Amino acid sequence: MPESTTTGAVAAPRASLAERLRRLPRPTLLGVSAGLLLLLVLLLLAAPLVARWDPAEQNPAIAFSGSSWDHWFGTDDLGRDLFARVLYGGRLTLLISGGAVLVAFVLGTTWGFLAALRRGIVDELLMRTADALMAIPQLLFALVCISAFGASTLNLALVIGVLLAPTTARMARSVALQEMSRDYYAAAVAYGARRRRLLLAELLPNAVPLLAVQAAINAAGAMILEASLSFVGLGIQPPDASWGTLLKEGYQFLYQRWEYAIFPALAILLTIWMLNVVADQLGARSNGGRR
Amino acid sequence: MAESLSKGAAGAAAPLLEVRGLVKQFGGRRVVDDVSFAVARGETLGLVGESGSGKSTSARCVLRMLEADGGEIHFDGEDVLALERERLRRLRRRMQVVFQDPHGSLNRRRTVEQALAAPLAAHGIGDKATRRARVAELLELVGLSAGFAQRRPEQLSGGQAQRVAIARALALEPEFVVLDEAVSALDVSVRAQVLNLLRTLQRELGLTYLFISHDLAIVRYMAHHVAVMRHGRIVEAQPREQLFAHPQHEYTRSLMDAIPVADPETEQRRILGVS
Amino acid sequence: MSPALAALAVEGLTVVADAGRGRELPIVRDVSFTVARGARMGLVGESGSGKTMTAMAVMGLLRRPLRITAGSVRLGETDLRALRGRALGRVRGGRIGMIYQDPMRSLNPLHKVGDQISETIRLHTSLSRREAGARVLELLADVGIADAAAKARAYPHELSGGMRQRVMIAMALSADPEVLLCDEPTTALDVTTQRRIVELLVRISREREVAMVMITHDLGVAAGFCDEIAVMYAGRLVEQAPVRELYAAPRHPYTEALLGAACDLTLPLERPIPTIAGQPPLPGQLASGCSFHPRCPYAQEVCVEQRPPLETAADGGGRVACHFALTREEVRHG
Repeated sequence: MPESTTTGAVAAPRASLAERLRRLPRPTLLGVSAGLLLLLVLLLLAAPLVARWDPAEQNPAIAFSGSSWDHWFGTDDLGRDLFARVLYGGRLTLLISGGAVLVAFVLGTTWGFLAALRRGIVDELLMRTADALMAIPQLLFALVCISAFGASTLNLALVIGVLLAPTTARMARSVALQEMSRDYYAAAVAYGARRRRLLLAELLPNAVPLLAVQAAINAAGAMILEASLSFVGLGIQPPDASWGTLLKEGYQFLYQRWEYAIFPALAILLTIWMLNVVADQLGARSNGGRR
Repeated sequence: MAESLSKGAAGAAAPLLEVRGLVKQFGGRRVVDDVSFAVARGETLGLVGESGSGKSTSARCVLRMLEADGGEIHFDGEDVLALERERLRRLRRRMQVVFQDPHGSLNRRRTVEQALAAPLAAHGIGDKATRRARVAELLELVGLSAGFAQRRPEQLSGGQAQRVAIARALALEPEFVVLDEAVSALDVSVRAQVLNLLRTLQRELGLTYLFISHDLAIVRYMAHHVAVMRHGRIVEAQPREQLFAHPQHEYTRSLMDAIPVADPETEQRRILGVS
Repeated sequence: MSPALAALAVEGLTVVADAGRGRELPIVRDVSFTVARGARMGLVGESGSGKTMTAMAVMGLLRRPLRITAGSVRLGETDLRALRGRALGRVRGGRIGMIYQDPMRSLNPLHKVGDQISETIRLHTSLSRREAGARVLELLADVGIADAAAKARAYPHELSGGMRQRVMIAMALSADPEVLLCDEPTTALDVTTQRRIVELLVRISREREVAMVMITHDLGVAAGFCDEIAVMYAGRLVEQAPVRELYAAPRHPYTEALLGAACDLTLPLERPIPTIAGQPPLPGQLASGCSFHPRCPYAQEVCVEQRPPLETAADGGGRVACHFALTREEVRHG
């Protein structure tokens, strides 16, 4: 074998090799779906610029008109532009789901980490509470809470967030326990790191990949819950509308105007689908990284 | 036997670490059963045994990473088992540990500099600049160039990662370091380097070691006194020279016989003779 | 030994890792060796020397970004590199087996070990379920497991490390292989268990005439196991010799250094253990000429400029790749 192949192939060391491979712009499933989600979020945020109609503006003269150049998704029973309503509805859905994901993340992570750190009776108590919460049918729990506290955007986000917290807590706890069994954690305990440092500097950064997966799953779950609540009339109240509310309204008129229900339904379906792809891909990636 | 050791190790001065009648149970099973030993200042006690003998568990009890179920542990006269959290945290500046798996003992998301500065930060020692200087000092101490500060664990070889772990253990200028199978995962040549480094550090910094290993040959090189553990008990404890010249316990002898010798003639006679 | 008799013949084996943009990092470079029936060879070197990759390449187990670019691997008459798919599967785990440092890696935690061995048997033979079950007990007894019937019903996590390794060996033997590759089979075990596993492997190689290749960094273990040793450095064989000759008079400075760094009960206590300066090189950062020259105490200008070929030693007892093998030998004997 000629010597030139060995001396000629002088290249960067291991780490920067991985670095370079990562930098190669290869379209991945994760990139595409995350990009589409980002695009959707931007579109929703830019709703006032994109929509040509006020979502609340009624025009009974054109009620139940089909798709047209003026009204891409058609109009509803009161003659409101459905495209504008789906866009603005998406903003509310985004707000509620986003809020719920945040609540679930903060609450669930604290919950799970505390259980892992304290062990013993505190762990038992926290995790049995989580079990109990998970044993109650989610929709039933949400119905009771919303009936009691009212269906404001904040309440919806809070209630859905609390509902998603136990699963997040379980995930956080198992990640924490796994990391705590590693030597770097033991070493940190041995040099006298305080609990807060252990949590924030040692555990959290290592738990982030899996928590991100959980967040994507939670976002999908939150959207489904929000839609279900709105569908039974306990979500966002008219004249405001989320995708769930729109779906419900559209469902009543399914035989008059299929567009009314189909577009919000499609919006929900596609978003959840992309969220699940993102969760899947993130999960596969963090497993791969772990060897 | 443990009695004779604590006397022997103590010599004139009181031992730095003294463990008496240590007991640790897991699920009703005594993993550490009435274990006593002492380590004199500036010396090394080798704790030898096979996996599951209770040697690591004993050490973790000493470090209070596990709570003992019985016995006494005194470190420089202080009752370790009686310390509440804040005093224990302060004591931990004086006793440190290095584990077996070089990469597992470094947080994969932090740089070498972050890993080495963390113990200093945990005890509020110095500001950012002095800590950085100390990190450079520590790297030099373990024979790594300053350029390693910005590396991440995955960019280190096993030997380099273990040097970083040793540097981290020394960051707080402890008197006592537990070396828990600290060279067992390293290749022969790297292992020799790290063993030499540990001996140099002991001499220069006056460190006291509890050296845990399953390999008697390495313990012989490192330890002044040796305690052999089996099934949670110390079966034999002697000064190094005596132990290797006249092993008293059958088990110690079998451990010694099992050490492979880098000599085909001897090795093959042993192996083929048995089979 | 003539190649026709060899159970395993590796010729010019070269493995690279694709580093993207058409660049290739050399991992295994032009490695050749043969192992006769019933012979035991040691493949010795530090981590990163390419010894495990050599074994993986022999087994046809390399995955991207690693691939074989040159060389041949012959199992008796069979050219392993020419085999694909099912034919390769039949040979792998059939005529050639491999055991690993961590048996848990190849044992399924959810199945009883007896069932797993039985499955391997049925994959490679036409035995019925019942016959395979009987064979499992035979094999377990053969690898020194006393209460075979009880152990066959155990799950992997219920067994000790040494016991798991025995199960792995039994599994590897189930298809009656001609060649067994052992990748650090005793590294994770206690010394006493280590010795027993080595004894077991030696006995098997003799009784069944299985050719074995043991990959290890431990020269003590290799001393007891092998009749021949091949030393690897930076992806190349640097020395190969019968075990006694190699230990008594290492011809390559790297071999000499490895032997010097080994810890046993004869190690002098008062001075530092002799070590090899520096670190093993990374595949992309190999030195010119002899890859070992930056760490070699005997290095001269010629070592920087020219790579020494692996040549049969002057006395014919082995092969060595060092410009000064001969001179150093003369110095030693003179």
